[in-house]
Amino acid sequence: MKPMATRRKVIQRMLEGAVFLGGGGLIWGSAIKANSKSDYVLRPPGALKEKDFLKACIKCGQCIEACPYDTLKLAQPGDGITNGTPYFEPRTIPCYLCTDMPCTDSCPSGALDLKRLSKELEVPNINNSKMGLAVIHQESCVAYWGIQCEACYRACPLIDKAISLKYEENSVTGKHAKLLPVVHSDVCTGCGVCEHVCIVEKAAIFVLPIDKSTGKVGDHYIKSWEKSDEKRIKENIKSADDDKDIESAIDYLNDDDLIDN
Amino acid sequence: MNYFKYYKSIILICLCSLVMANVQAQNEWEVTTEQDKNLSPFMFDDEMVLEGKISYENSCTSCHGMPGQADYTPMAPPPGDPGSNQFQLQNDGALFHKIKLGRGAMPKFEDVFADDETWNIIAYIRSFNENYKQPIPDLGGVEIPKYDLKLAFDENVDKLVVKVFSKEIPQPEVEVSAFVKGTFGKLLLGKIQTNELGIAYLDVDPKLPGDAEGKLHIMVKATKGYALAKLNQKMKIVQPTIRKSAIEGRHIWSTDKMAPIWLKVSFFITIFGVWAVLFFIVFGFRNIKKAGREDDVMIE
Amino acid sequence: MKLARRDFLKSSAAIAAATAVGVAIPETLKAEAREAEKGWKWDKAVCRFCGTGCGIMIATKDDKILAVKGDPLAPVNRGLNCIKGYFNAKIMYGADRLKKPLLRVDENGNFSKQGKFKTVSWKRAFDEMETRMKATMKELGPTGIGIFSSGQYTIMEGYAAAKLMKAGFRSNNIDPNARHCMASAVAGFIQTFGIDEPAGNYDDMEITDTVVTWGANMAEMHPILWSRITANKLSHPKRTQIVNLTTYTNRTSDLADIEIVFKPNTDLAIWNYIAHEIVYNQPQSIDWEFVKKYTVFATGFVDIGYGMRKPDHPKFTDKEKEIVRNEVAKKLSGDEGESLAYLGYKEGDTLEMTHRDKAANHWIIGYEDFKKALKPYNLDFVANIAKGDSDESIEDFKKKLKSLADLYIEKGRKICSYWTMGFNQHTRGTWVNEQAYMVHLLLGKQSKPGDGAFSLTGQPSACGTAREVGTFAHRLPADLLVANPKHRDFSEKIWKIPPGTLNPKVGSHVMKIHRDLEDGKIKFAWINVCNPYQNSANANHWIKAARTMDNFIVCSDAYPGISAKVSDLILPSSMIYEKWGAYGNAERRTQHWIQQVTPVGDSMPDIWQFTELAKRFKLSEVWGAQKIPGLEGGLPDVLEGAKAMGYSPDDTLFDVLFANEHAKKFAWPDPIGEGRLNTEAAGDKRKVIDGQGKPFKGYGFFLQKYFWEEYREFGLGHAHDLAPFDVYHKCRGLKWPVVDGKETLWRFNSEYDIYAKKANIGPFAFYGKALKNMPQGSLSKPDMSKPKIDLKNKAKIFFRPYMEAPEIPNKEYPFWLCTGRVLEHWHSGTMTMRVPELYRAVPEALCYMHPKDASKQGLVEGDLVWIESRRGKVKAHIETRGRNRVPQGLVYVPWFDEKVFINKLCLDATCPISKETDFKKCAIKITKA
Repeated sequence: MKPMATRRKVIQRMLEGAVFLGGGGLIWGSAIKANSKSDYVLRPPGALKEKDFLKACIKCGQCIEACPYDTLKLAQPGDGITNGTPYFEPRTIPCYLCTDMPCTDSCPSGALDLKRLSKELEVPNINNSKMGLAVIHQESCVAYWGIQCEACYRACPLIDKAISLKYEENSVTGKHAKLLPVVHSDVCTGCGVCEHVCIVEKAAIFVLPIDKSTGKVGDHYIKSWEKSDEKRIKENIKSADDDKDIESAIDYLNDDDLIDN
Repeated sequence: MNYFKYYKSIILICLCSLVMANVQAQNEWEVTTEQDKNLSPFMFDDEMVLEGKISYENSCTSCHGMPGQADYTPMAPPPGDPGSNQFQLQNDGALFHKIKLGRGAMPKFEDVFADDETWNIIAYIRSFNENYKQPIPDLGGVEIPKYDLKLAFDENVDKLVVKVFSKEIPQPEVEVSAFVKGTFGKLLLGKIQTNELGIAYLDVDPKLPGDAEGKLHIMVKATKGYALAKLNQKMKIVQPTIRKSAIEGRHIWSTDKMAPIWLKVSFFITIFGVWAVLFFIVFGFRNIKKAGREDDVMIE
Repeated sequence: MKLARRDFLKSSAAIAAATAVGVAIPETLKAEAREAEKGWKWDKAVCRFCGTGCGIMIATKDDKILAVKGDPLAPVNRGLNCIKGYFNAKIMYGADRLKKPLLRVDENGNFSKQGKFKTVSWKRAFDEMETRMKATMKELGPTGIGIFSSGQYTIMEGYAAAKLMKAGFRSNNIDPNARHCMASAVAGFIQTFGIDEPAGNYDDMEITDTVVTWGANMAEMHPILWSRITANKLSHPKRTQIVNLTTYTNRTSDLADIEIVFKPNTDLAIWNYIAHEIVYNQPQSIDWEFVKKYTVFATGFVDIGYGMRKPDHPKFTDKEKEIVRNEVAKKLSGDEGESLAYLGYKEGDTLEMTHRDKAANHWIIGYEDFKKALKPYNLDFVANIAKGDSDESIEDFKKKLKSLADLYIEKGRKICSYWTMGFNQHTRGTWVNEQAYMVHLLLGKQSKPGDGAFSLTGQPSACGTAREVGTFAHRLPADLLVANPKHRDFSEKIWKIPPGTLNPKVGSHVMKIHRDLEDGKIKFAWINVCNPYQNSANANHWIKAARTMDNFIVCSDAYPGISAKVSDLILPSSMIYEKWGAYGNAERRTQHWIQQVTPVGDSMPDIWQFTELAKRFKLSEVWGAQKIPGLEGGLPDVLEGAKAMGYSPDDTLFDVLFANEHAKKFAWPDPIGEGRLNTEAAGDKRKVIDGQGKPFKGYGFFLQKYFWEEYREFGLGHAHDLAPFDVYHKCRGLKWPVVDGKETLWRFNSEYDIYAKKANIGPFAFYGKALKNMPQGSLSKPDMSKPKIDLKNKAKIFFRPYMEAPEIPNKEYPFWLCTGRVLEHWHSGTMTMRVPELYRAVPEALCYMHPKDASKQGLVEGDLVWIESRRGKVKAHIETRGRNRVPQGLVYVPWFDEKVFINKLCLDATCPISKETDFKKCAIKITKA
């Protein structure tokens, strides 16, 4: 009887397998390219923080089905977003802030949570969503040039609250005024209708995730002209640690290198 | 232990009371003169009889059986056959009242049937009496208006327009009900009263299926007090329904005449091929047999 | 009142130049085409869109428009634009631009109304038009044809159309879409001043202290002008006050200091309240010197109907008749019972509409009568009927009304009232226009810098073309009227046509053209630069008439809209920068431009379409005797007169009206157009096959300049003076009257207006000539026994009562429907919906509804609903947030969207005087779809 496999053949087969697996894995890995864009992705209203969201989302697609405007998309391999999770691109189709929140309501795993849309003891309200924050690039916003646009302002579902107009004299003509859209970050939901309607070639107002578009002032300094600013105090100023670093201070003091010889 | 001799009388007393109750029940079911005089505001017609038949079969046959067949359920007291003289000799008003209020085992139907539905049932019961002549209420000189109905369709707002006139005068506050008649029943479009111009408007869904010309068969009934008018009309309201043949485009499965050439050719080739293979096998066996015999010959 | 130096310093530097007495044509503003690097050419033009009339500059290269910029030298906008103007470069290159004529034909290629559209040649198109027109005129005479003309024609096109129709075909059935837009304002001007168009100009916005917008959403509809008002407010935040009077909260309310939300139609009552305040509580504020010298008091009939047809008309459905009944007799409501009490009426009375045909009649009354009529309009009465927002307290509302009156009355406070469609599209539009002048004239705050009532125009050339050229059913150029024999003589002389050619009977206005089509009285209609089947109320009727009856509808347009869809023949037309032209904006500024590029496809300018058609009609076919229904004796035969003038009966209308001796004197090439394109004069590189089947090489003379110079002759010396053609190409437009090279800033004011100075009666003179010989009378009727009074140089202060709209909400139809616009789209969207960015910004018309109204019916934001009136129904999505916040009981739907064809629902009731449709008031119900 002929033997089934020689040692050589086995090793050969093993190597082939390894190459196939490795090569396939590399290809699949590059196709998935997971998380390369996850920092900038916009999630549906009521979503948990990105890390928790990825843990909780079971990629069932219910929210995508529930959205009446086809806003939400399923992340595909190659999108750079975790495969199968819901996201949206406002420039294509923005979130229209349905008052009955069908997407958040439909999530079976709690990755989208109605509690995230309720303030304290109130009922959930879509206007509490924080999907992102709209930011304006002034050089490409024609309203800042002096053109009468304000399309984003008029389209905003929270007109006069999330986007309001600031009036400024136009020094170029001397007799016109500029009507400048200004975003209020405490109200803006990040729905992206503004980005969608912006009439320039590449939207001058666009939505970025909250942590990419906001800064933070340390809580050790309070505004003297606003009493309510005191709320920010957190009482965690680092005190000098007693024992530890005194060693390095003593070392420094004992280092006798001041006088050149 | 003395109770033993009383136990017989106790049973006797119970039986007697039962008989008494039944005897009570056999008493005449009287109605007041007022109720007895009550007459139907509608002339009994075939439509009412049909409606009454449906209501009767839903609610009454369980006890009274079919009128005229005396197949009522044996109960105490017996419900009776509505086709019998005992029923037919009563006045319309008495029947009406009795259906409404019920008695004993017969439930009261005043919450189940509206007045006109009750009259429908009476119309049905009366239809089994050839000698019945519906008494016309005495209106004391009041003329029952004769209604003329005109139908139109306002396609701007998809509404059926019903105009009720009597001698050219528009009639307000007439109750109009309109139906779309289908093959197996009718769809109620609505019940509404005419406005001060004698016009009633009813919404029609333009997506209803019509016939091949897009016509709907509309039935309209207008009634107020003792006056009644009906109208049947076919109106072009919807898109024509073009019935498509179920086997359209599926000629592959129909007669040989419609089968495409390529199917016929490949079919024949397949059949031929299969038979060819069979024959090949058969002849192959023969050859084997032949070869076997040759072998035998050879070996010798 | 000369502007004191103090006032000069208050305003910003730019205004100083404009307010000098008489602005000469600045040499510095020569608009030569300047060559920039890379071979572009910048040239000046005007924006295609609204009545603001911004100047733009266009960069062309290789016969294509590359880019657009605001014109820094244009006084209106100084280099700025709004986002519609921002896209002027893109509007001509939309994907479905019409490029070839289209005719409905059957399989054999013959015209058939049930046929489908197929491309045909221009020759075939004109052949079909000629056949149909001649057949119609044979059957019905000149009244059987009609033209839907436009406030967006260039001035030359409008002039050519009017000349062809009135002088050539002798028909007065030419009426513009401006009938739906400015007719009430025009009627208001003519009744009050005897001459059309506003007295002030845009500089008032910088000079004034108070801006009151009445039913005008300036923030969205006149953005550049709003920008100027905003700048005024920013530089004087305390002194400048802005009041927005509106039926729903809109973007104009954002800047306004006072927002007054009133119930529809009660603007009539609010004006009377202001007048009541003046007359009863602050009579010292009346400028008696001004009033006694320059004005008289007047009033008119109230039982004038609502411009609808009579209810026995066979085409009305029964549902419609519920409202149309009011046209002959109306039961007076409680509010009307009080407002008409001065005539002896009370609540519940039936008002018979006996004076439907005498709606414009008016007569002079005394001040005592005027005062008496104003008596009921105290603060309580008016606040109760006018409060529009049920969530607002009556006390707050009263305070606002009082503040408004105080602003008008305050001595030394300059105040300008601005209005557009809120006043004009109104069943008593003429009345409410007159009321605006009533208050300004009483206070003497009119025709002065910063003081005056200013009627804003919607369309880019409703002033310049429709009104000034007179493309109306009752007008001739320069405010002349067809009914006046002297005016007809004058026109016939300029046009060099025999006396008696012009038709003296007023023709059909736009709604009447639609109604005549439905009645079979008109069987040929030509649509020019407008979309009458989308813009006219009660559209179901007109669309049915166009598609099912025996008629022939021609549509000249650049993009396929609803009107093209119902037509039988579509002619591709050149758009604005593909031809020489001129527009006149709301402040009387006429601006010219030169053809920038060759038209797209086979599209040709409208002027060329008129001239090619004119070639097919001989004098003998149109200038013989004609029957005119309603005109006794009809039109006379003028062929003898024509022969006497040197014409032959075989001459065509082209020879006589367009290519006559006078015209040919305007040679092409002309120095002003050196090296420039001119399709009509010289043809273009496409060599389009013309109406004779030959490649078109141009007519050989400067047709557009000829039209301009001939048109000028009408107005010169009659307070409508225009400058010569060449002058306009050297500057950024001039405000007429242009006399001795100087434009006029404030009319009727002797310091600024030469004609007022010539009248020499004092600082003012209202020198308009029309309707200046009027009878006297009481409040209820004229007294013909008293002599008529000559009102030379005077204006009229009208008393007009409050009346309700003919259709108001009831239980079955519980909401008011108000229609209007959005900033992103122009009119019916045929151009702006083809710009992808504007389409993306606002892709559909939404039904703005109050959230409480929505939730009462179980509706949620974004739901699809049926909006239904007695005349039709459409589907739309509701919007409970957004740019317009309506009060409870009212919904607002813009009309730019074909998919939400809201005009199916609107009522075709009009102001009986101006015949302008009221698009802002009818009753509807909402159900979930």
